[in-house]
Amino acid sequence: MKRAEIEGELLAWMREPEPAPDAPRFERLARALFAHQFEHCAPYARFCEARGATPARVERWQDIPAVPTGAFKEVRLCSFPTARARHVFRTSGTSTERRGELWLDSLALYHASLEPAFRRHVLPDLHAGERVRMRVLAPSAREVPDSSLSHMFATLLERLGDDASDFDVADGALDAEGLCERAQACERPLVLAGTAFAFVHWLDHLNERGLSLSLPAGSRIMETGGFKGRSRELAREAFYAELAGRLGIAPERIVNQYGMTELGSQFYDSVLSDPAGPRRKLGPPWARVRLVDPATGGDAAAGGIGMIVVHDLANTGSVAAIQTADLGRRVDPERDDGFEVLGRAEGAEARGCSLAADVMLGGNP
Amino acid sequence: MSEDSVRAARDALVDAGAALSRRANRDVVAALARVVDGFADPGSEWRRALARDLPEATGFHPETVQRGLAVGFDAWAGTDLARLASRQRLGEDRLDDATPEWTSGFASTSVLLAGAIPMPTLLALVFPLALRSPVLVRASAADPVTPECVQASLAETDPELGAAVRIVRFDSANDEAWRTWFEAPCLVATGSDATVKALAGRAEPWQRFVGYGHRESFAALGPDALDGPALTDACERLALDLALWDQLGCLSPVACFAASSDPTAAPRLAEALAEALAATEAKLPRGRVETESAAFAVRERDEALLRAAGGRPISVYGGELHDAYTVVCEDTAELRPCPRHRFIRVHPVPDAAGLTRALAPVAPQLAAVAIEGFGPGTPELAEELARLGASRLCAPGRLQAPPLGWHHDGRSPLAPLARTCDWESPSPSLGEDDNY
Repeated sequence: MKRAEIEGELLAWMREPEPAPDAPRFERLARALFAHQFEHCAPYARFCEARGATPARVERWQDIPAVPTGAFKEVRLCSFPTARARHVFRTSGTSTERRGELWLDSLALYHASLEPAFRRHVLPDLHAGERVRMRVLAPSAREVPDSSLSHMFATLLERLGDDASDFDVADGALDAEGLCERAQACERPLVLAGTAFAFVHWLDHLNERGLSLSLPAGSRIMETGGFKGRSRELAREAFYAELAGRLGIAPERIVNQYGMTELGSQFYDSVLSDPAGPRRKLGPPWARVRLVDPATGGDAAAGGIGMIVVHDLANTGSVAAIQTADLGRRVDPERDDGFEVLGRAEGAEARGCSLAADVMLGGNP
Repeated sequence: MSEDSVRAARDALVDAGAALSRRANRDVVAALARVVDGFADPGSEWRRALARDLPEATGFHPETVQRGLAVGFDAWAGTDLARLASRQRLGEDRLDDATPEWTSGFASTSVLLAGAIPMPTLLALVFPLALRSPVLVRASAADPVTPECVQASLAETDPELGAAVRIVRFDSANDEAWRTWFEAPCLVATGSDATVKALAGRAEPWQRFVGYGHRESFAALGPDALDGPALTDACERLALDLALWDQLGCLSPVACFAASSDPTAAPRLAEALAEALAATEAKLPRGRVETESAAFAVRERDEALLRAAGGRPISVYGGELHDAYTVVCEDTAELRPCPRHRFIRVHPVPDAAGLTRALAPVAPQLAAVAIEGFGPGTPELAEELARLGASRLCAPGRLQAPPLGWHHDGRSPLAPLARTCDWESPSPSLGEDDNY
């Protein structure tokens, strides 16, 4: 299959009124996309060959080699001539750090994948054609044009936000006071979306002033990313408790988004899309997650911890199979439905004489 | 363990400390020297207990534990401790004209242990005792064997010393228990940088805080060790440094440098090291690898493969599912993360000066450097590495055998745990008229 055919099928899937999982369709498209990327992305092809995988040998989508996200800092993983590139998204980092780059020649699939998943998991009660009040605690795409997150928020504002929806970060700083005023003045359900650390900055502002807001019923939060080095760090439960205390939004209405620059699709907590079920990450049907046991390369045992590997068919222009730096676990071991993110797989400290897990702050003895 | 149990342990140390303070330092050090000799004796009950119980408790393979104990303890003798104590003038108990300094331990010492390597644990208990300071030990979850084994050997050798050690285990979130731990005037903490920093922040200004945080070690071969039998021999010894304690100690090398202007030197070293590691695996199998670490290793291996696929001259040896080691031959001197568990990178540097430049970014965390093959330039390189911050320089194969008196993190082993009083006796030339 040519890329245009693959993308045509994917767009049709994404535009269905209720896109549903379809294993045969996923299998066929995943293998076709692998063949295309193997043919057009030389570094990826050489990597696959080193792993003993070629389109002729791969019989299941699960056997398609996944590239680690860190590789995007080192190698240009592009499945089209770079002269055709129209967008480059970069991972966050300081000016001295190497940053990952995602080169794209089209955003059509990115946009098509974004909206249905966001609607389903953050705005399941939104009627067709309806718009919401959305305030974004992140810099605008104008300010950070190479941020996929800012681009995502800009797209959501454009497609789903009302006239009073906008970004609340300017020149790198959160307009905390302005956001308080706008939130308090809002008379309709408010969607607050942004980075977790920006929410912490806002909470700190509210804490300093002893302010608690009571946002309109139906309001909700979508937060994403971590805190490290950007704000004080909080366990997710404590974070949600603080948000609930200061904003009056119950934890059941706070959705964490799991996404990354290297992916064209995102995963969301299920609390609004499946309020009766346990909190777990769900994504669109064209992005499937494997939890891989690093010791065997196979699936982690039921209920076991594994590396989160995402096969995202929306990544037609780069590489679809992405090995994240995170560990995860199926929430329901019996079902291939939803996972939880347990954190990064790191262990750089010398644990023989200074066990990283045995820390005073939070670790178990 | 509840906070009440921790308090009871602290209370028990008051009497034990009083008894210890009545003892002559010479006697105490002699008893501790017998304990050290006991662990250095492969046939001793305590050494056999470690060899028997550590594998299951820590996940290290029994052969690796056995060899690690041999390499680590065989270099030690009780006389080393006596020599250390003598250097610290611990044999001199009286404060008079003949001994113008008086050195003693604190009324009590609290120790936080971390990790699963037994030698540092033994010393963490023995050193305060050598200063007659009773020890409250918060043991590491990673090693439920060694602290109790050391305590039992102390008790058998000298019951008063055994009573002067109390081992406690409590949850990290048990703030009351931590409060008790923090009551000692001397605090010794080993752990991650985050742990050491957090503990240091809680210590009072009047307390002595001795922290041992994250450190890394390296190896470097010069031109004389990068070819032929010399290379094979050096790699066999380096493989032992890597295999012991599965590269989880701060004395385990995380990267190895090939210091040579010959561009084939680093690939040669990487290949020889991979062969040596494969052979070592047969004798000293790798132990348990947690999912987190295994995932880290897979990621680093795949990133290296992708950099190679991107056209850079990088090679990966091992790292497959059936391999218990990974060697990545990098094309630059830039240091990268090390997942440990027998994962090592080989970096090219043009010469000894290039080696010190490559290590400069990690100078604050530098522990030991194993060097070989630098010929007459060795003393100059050693001086440069010492200036950079290395606290130990040795030959490949000796990284896991630090002397008992090694200046861990560049510090004297006993001095940080001691208080010294200077005695300025009245001058006989001063008459009454000279009073002021």
